[in-house]
Amino acid sequence: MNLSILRLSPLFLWFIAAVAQAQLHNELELEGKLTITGSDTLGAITSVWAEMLKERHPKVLVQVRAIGSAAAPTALVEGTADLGTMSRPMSAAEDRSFERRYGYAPIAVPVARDAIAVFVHRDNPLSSIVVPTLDAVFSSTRRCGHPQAVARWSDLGLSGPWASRGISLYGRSAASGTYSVFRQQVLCSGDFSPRVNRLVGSSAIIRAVAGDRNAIGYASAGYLNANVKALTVIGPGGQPQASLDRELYVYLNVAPGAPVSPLTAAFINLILSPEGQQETAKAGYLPLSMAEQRAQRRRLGLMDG
Amino acid sequence: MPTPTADSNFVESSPLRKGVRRAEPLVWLSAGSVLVSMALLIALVGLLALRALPHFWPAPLLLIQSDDQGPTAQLGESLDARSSLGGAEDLLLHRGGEDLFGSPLVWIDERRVRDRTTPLDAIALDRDSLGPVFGFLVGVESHGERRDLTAQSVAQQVNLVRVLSLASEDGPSTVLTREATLATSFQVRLASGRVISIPATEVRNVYAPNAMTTMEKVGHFFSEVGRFLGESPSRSNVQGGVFPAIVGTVTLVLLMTILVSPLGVLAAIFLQEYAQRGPITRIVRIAVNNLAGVPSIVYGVFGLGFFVYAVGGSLDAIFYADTLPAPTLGAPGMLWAALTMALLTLPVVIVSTEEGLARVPSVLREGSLALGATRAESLWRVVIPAASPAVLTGLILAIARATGEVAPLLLVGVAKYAPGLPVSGEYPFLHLDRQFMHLGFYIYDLGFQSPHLETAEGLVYATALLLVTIVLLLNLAAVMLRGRLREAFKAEET
Amino acid sequence: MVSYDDAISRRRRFKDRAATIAINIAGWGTVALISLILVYLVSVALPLGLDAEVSPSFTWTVSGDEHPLIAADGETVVSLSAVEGARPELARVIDAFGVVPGASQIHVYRLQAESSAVRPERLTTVAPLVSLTLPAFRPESLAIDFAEDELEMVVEDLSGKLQLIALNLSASEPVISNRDSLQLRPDMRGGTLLPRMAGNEVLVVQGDRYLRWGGVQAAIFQAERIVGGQLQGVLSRVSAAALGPGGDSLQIADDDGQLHRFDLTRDQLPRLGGSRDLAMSVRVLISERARRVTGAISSDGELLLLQPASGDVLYRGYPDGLDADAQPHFSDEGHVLIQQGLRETRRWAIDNPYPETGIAALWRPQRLPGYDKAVHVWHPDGESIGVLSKYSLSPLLYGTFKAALYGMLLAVPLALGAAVYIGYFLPSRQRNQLKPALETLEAFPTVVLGFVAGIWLAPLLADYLLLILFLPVIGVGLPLLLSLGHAMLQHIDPRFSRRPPRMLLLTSSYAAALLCLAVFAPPPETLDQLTQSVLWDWFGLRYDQRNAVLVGLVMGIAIMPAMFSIMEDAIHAVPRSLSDGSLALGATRWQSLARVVFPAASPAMLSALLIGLARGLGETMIVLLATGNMPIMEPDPFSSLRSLSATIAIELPEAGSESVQFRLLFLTALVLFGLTFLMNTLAELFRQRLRYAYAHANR
Repeated sequence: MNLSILRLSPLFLWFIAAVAQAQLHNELELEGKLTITGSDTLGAITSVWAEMLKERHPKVLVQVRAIGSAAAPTALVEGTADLGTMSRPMSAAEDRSFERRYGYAPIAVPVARDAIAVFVHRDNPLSSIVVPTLDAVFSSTRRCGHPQAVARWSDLGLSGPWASRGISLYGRSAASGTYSVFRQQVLCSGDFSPRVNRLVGSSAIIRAVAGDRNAIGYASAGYLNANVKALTVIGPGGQPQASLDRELYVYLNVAPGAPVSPLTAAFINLILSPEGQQETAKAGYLPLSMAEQRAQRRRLGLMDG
Repeated sequence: MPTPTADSNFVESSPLRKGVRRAEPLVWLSAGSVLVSMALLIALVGLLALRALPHFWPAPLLLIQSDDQGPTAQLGESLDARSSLGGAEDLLLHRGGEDLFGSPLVWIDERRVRDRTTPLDAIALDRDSLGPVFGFLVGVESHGERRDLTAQSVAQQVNLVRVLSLASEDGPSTVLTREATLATSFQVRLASGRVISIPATEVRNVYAPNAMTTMEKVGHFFSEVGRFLGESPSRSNVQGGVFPAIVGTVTLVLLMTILVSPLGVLAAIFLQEYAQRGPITRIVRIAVNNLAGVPSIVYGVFGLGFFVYAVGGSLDAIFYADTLPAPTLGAPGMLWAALTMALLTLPVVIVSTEEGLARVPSVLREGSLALGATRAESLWRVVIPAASPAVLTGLILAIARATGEVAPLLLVGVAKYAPGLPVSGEYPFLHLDRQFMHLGFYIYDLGFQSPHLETAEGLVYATALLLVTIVLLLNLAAVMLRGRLREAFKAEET
Repeated sequence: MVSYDDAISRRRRFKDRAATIAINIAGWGTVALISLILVYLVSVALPLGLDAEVSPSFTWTVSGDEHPLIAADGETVVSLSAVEGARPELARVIDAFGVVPGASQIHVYRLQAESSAVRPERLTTVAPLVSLTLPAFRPESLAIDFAEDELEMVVEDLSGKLQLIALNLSASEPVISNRDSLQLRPDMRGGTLLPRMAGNEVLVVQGDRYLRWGGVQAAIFQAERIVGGQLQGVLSRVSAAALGPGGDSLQIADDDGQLHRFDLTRDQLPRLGGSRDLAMSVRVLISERARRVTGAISSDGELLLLQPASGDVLYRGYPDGLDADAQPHFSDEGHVLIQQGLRETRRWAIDNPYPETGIAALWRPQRLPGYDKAVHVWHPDGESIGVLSKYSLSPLLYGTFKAALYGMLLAVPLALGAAVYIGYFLPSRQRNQLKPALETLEAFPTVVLGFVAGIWLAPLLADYLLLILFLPVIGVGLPLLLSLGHAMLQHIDPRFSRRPPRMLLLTSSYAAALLCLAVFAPPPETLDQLTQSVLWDWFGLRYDQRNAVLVGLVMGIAIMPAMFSIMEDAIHAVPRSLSDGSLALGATRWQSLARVVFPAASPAMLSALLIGLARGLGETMIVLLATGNMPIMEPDPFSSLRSLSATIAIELPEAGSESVQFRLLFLTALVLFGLTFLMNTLAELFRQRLRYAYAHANR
């Protein structure tokens, strides 16, 4: 047994050495741990922000858990996260459960704007769809008033080889804000059809739609690529539906009157800085205007940063 | 089979019938199923390797001239080719940087392609974020001074970029200071003719794949593999290495081993040597056995509810009340993940150790007791050494299982991005409250949630290959150890 | 005097005792840990099955100019300032607003107190926020609804006209955002008014006739749309009418104590299932807005709480002081029942945290608004957008078994075949090499299998479905063909009866077959069309890209090695002497296998099946990544599924630790634990039978 441990030791030494090397040594004032839990849509961009914060303050430790928007209020209420990222505003019930725990409401900071896109396989001839039909495609309740269920592409007016094909549906699992916003705005708060493939991430949806000719799916527009084709969603007035846009938020747990903790303040300052918003734009979202950035920072008392 | 028998029917039967009686088809069929099973294993590993290794190999850069919506030129790596429903052959091109084009990927209609070349002077610049840049180096700018580089050979260009951009990391041996690097940027002409400027600090690597010799490609391959194993992931995990995930996985497994081995071995000794034989021991043994078959996600549920919320929450309330509501131990983290994993692998260790103990001949035990040793002494000096290969087997199996298991970690502690390693040079060195990255979870996250899956796919397959290799090697070690142990005792028993 | 030896032996004794104690602690600790898992899971899941309890908590007496009113949060109590002609006992409360009718005025109060604690002795007095004047109306007809800062009020005036007023309360000053009226036909007068902002309509129910004003599911209130009709299947006189939980359904109680439900999300107001016998003469019906709970109060003060869709009865009893004549309402969260009477305002505490998780609700199909037939729906995420959740575990359990069984379809033949070959036909040395190699597959990380299935195999399977379905035919057919060929050759020349190079022949023929397939396979488009016409048009099957066959393929790889290992052990453990003996007695090899070896090994075979199934039931990552996680109940091979384990993995991180969903997921974990534990125990018992049977023969 002793011998075998000795044999292992070079490997162990390498491990220790590598670990030591990976540590950055820098002396800056800010240190501590920042845990961010929430939206999967915001996951990628949050990781980037976290990395930027890490570059500025190497002693700060940032952890990002991108599960879905519904995880953010839970984590804030349970106290398992410092910040919650959400791709939709908190619902009244979520707000209430927070208030019951802490006695005050959480603070929502809008950090970017995002559009939800509906898309099909790139061979699909369809180019636009109206909301009640889209509702009938994706829901089992058809609350937006489409008279009958839609199961085949012929029901959407396609002909030729497409007519007899069934429609495969792709969407997010329940935790995501994309899911909730789509449910409210397209399904008129009805229920998703159980036939929707619920995949664990937006890119998994794009990937699946790219590989399935019968597919129609929805995901954050930031994930679109050349493998799929986006549909124009037409609202009640015959115009492209604009309300499939939504704001993305970071939620804070700050007691009224109390200052924002320095770590959180540094992070929010970073997000609401031109550099942070530049990353937002690169990730495919619409950045906030300078005035909005300033207004948000003023609201949180972060103007000195 | 020339069996003498009075059954006339049997004697006269055809070879076909004889074959059926001798279960010949069954032999063939069962041999076939062995083969299929083995083939599945090999095919799986082969698939991973086939998809992973090209990721590190420098792909040729294609310059494609087509007249899709007017004459256009595109430079990039070919990723995929397929035919669409209309019958047209299409080619998927990865043309680099997310910031340079609307989408890094583009489908090119083969019917419209006029010309397809692999220009020798095309270079690929890997950047820290936003993906690579494919183009032609035309100049370099430093402190406002611009130099034209078009006259130089591509090898010289590559060298220059290397020196200028990577100088800051090479230490004191370089001639250039960090300031010089900071002030330097490269002018790169894209296929479309647009010239963009790339700061030297952003450049991670540069190479000219079309001009590389095979040896250079091999070198590039290994340096990329080294980078994959030794570096942190870059922005939003789409590039770079898996080092934090390796450290996270290793730390998790080590912690788990430290937790599970004393408990598992002692519990096995209790069941095998100390507990009275009776219905209760039998029930406990069956229960332990069955625990190995309880789905891992159930342990995750238990870990989240009991360890994280109940135990962690109360510990926070007692010891870290001043930092509440920000959690310290009341959040998923390394400690809880290791505990959950220890619980998950406990039955494996117990069962294997028990098996080993049972195989130790009672003669040994009785002999040592007869010579005056106490029970503990005979255990420590005689029985455990004899059973140690079994204990080790159990531990290796436990480690293999814990390495490959992801489901419970989804609930109790992995993070998408956690550059803070669970072990570090800072006090207290081991950070039990931190979340960590994990190889298995990295596959899950990168494969299903990263924005540019198509370009990161090689990375996912490489991670999968790494994980599978580790797990299979561990498992093979355990299996061989166990096999040797069994043979050894078989020899002793006879 | 203590001798040296004594000291040593004392130390040895001490060490021995310490070791004994440590080992005992570890042993019993393990037992405790096992029990802890079970106890903890049960303790979290158990409250789901508890019945409701109702107990009186406070009573305020109306005194002179004070009239206590409780806001819909159930906690805030204020005193309404006396207003001339107002009827506070007919007040309607919603959210933080109280609406009090007068003879020709409606007074809207904002019910906010300094402190939210229930303090009966110090009530804040509030004045109306706004008073609206209307034509003289029936005060009892007042009905209100509230959504997104808009308060909608409807009354029937004395001339039989419906008066609708909508107030926007988001600004500091209330603004009238809509005002409309509708002349009722004489036969509709005096009915129950049910404003419903979720559907932008006002519903009027008079007897068994209804009228819908504003249309169904319109984006805005459309005053010109009026639909009327008769409620189907209501046979006796209607005694109470109210909106159902969430405002999606209409609930009617008749004189026979029957509860009828109608779907308000459809134009024709279809019935939701048959009637339910409440076994009481119903006077009042009320429902919670956020949970599926309906309360019925009888004329003698009996209260019944039930889940109307499933019929689970939550509470039946006579709470102290319940007045059958006063209109009660639930607090927003359903933890309080409130009744504003003429002389008293009463409040009952309802302990009913998990009303929607009765046996019928979890496992049986239910008629739900928006669905045309009884369905099992798993849609547990309504709270975040303010609609009702649906918790049916049946599709999840169904999906769990479906995935496991499809996995078995591949795993059982492979494992059995491999076990027979390696355990019975192969000589010992080769066995010792091959067996560990196969067992290595067991540790293959399932996340990798899931990833490969989800990203690589799913599109491949869709494109080459027919070819891939053909593979098992090759897998079985080729060995049989080779066997036939071998027999033929023997017929020609007895020299061929020697042991043939089986593995080599098989490998090469499989490789050749695969090569042929790869070379001669039609292009994907042709295959696609072919599949289309053969499978979908002929058989009418549906194809989901992430389907049970895909899961089965990958799951089979994951559960095969464990089964193989046990089966092989069992076959190998059957003493060689038994099979040799039977052969010596003249049995053929086939007979020996079928009559001697298999029966002897059968308990272990059964145990292997159970263990494989248990492993399949609990597998998480494969099912999570390779299926579409659709909670449907279809046995079709090409439709998707959703398993218990994948549901836990997806939903537990987002569920709050006090929520219904959190406890339900613990229940599913408990179900999984129970199922696998049961199967493993059975398997263990079977295996032990074999072990005892041959314990002596092996020596």
